[in-house]
Amino acid sequence: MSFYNRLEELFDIQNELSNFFEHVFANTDRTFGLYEGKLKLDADLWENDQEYVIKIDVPGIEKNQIDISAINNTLAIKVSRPDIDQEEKKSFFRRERFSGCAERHLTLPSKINRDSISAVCKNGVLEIHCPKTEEEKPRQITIKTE
Amino acid sequence: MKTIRKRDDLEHEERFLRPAVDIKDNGAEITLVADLPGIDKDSLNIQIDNNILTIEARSEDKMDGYDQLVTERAPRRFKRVFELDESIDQSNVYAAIQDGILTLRLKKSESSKPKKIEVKVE
Repeated sequence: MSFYNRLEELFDIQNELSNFFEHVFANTDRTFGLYEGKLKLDADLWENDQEYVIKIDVPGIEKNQIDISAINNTLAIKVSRPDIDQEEKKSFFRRERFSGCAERHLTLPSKINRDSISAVCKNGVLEIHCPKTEEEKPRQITIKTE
Repeated sequence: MKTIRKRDDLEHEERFLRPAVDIKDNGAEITLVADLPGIDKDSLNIQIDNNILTIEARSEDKMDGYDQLVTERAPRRFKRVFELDESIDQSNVYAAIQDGILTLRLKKSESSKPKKIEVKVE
């Protein structure tokens, strides 16, 4: 009996193709930043008047393996997941999850307050909060009556 | 006669992301590890029905009060289906999720565990 019969996979081919095309066409705007490495550090960016929030998927990566640094309004995020050793590798009959390092640079649209950048990691999602500098925040202008 | 699905049906069909998995077999059990970022115990649904193992997870990624500028991450809808064969004891399954990683342990039924055969010297 073939080793692979133990866990045979069923998948919906239609779904596969839809997913594939969606992914390819969704990433047409690459001005957000450069990336490299086997792990694709896809990021979502949100903003409000006070700050920017970046969310990146980092499943199973320890806090000490995430490195975030900032120059002006560009963030450099480095992530690494250790590769399993050779002995263990032999017992796998399917390996899809990545291992290794990946790095991503993200340039934010406006100035941020570097000293108040905070990051939290929850359920394998890295959430980085970058407060905007005072001058970037919208300011209410009061109209005086003469 | 097979009916061809109309264009409209396809538009409304949900798209799922297939989570990456590592599967290993150590003789006594099969371990499956899947990456499910953003998923916790409450958003996860694992079912075994008639030899079919379905791993499904969804989570809302709401950020109230914020405008979204860039979306690269796929929506949090994961699904992956496997067919189990008789060597797996379907009533003996362990599942745990932590930091977005799901670990499933499927114990093999007694009869399919590799049995060591003693060689006696005559």
